[in-house]
Amino acid sequence: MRENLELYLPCEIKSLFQKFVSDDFFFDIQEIRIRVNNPIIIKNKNQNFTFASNSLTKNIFSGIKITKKNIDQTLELLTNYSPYAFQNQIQNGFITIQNGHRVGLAGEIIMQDNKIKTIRNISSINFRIAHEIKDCAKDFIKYISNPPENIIIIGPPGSGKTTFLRDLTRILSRDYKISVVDERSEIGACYLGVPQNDLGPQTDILDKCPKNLGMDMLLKTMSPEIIILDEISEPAEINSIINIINSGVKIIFSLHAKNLDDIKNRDLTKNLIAQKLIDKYFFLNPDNKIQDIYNKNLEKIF
Amino acid sequence: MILKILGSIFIFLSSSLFGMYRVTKIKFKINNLKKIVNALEILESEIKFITPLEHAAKNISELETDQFIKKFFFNIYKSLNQKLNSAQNIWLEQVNLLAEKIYIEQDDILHLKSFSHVITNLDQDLQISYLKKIILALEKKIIFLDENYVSRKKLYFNLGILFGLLIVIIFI
Repeated sequence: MRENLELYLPCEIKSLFQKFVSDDFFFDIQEIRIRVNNPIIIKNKNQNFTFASNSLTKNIFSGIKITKKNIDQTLELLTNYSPYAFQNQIQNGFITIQNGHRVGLAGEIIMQDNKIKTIRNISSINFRIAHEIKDCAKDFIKYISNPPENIIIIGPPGSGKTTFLRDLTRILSRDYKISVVDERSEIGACYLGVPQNDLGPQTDILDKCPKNLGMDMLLKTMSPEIIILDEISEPAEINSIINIINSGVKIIFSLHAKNLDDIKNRDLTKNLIAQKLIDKYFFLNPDNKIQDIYNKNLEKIF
Repeated sequence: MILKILGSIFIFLSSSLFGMYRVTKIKFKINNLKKIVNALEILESEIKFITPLEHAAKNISELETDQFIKKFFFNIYKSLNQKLNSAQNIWLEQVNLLAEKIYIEQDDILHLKSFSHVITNLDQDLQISYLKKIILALEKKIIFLDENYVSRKKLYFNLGILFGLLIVIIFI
């Protein structure tokens, strides 16, 4: 993982990592934030570190400062010198790189027809490090009946929803035909169309495809038994999900939310809950652990 | 006398060949520009089809038959792959190297170099417009050289022969 990630860092920053960051420390990194005229912030086990002139330090005000040139070089490396190839992702404010790490971008927004066309003069880059944790979903498979059900994985940002979903895909793929619509390339981390993460033997993947379009496409072409999606956020996606459920294919997806009340009251999800279309709700806490599981009647079963 | 005849033939042939060389140089320029335009059109399509620059350069180098243009794109692919320099510098370096190896004029080199300004631009439309602009400029040059070639072909060739004859007449 380290070598793959360092490929995206310009020489100056890479050399700091090579000098001062051990492999063990690197393994636990959650985020690397690079901002113009500010020090690099490395989040490790929920603590912030930065590079002083000759060491790693927790005093983030004394760190070596990043220049605009460093940011531009990082962007070139992130996009493989081809930002045009990432325009759709940049419009959404992030790029997914090899191994499924998500890189958030902030800068000057360019609007066209009331939509974000692109971001230019990028001033902040945030590497969110994905960790493929095999068997993290293994203990919870027993809560999914056979044949499987419609499931939502719920949790706040950074709670490990995608990691859990990825492992669930891998495990279920042993017995079922699975199709994944991986709009942000975070589940399979496809590179040139080939998944870099292990998604099991019976998984087909549509990479970088909008979820609502991908679901219909997969339903018609790949005859899946289960469709898997990450981070539902649009009403159009919910409409496609309802179509999929009504056509007899099971669906598993993740959603940003704090708790059960949050999804009960939200316009996006209240219909799904009211119509009892979802069989199980898995809640993850910020410590990346399954906290609660509810059935379709919203009774707690774990 | 034999030496005089041999000398005359030598002068006559040299000046004729020089005339032919001048004409052929225009033809080489036209051919080179046509090959560059062709490669840039493929690059434009690759960018439209959002192929990353590195892979686009590799694809073009594989398709290209002209050894210099093949090498130009292959070197770009290799340098981008090594990630040791900015894309802008890599493009400029390779245009300079190409210009040393093929017949091409200074203004054409500047047109080619201008792509470096947008090579890593976020806006795909801007990159495509730039490529179109370069292609258009090179195509105009091809038309101009083509017209020149037709009119100068006879001129240079005849001048070469006549100049040779003149020298022979003056010195013998």
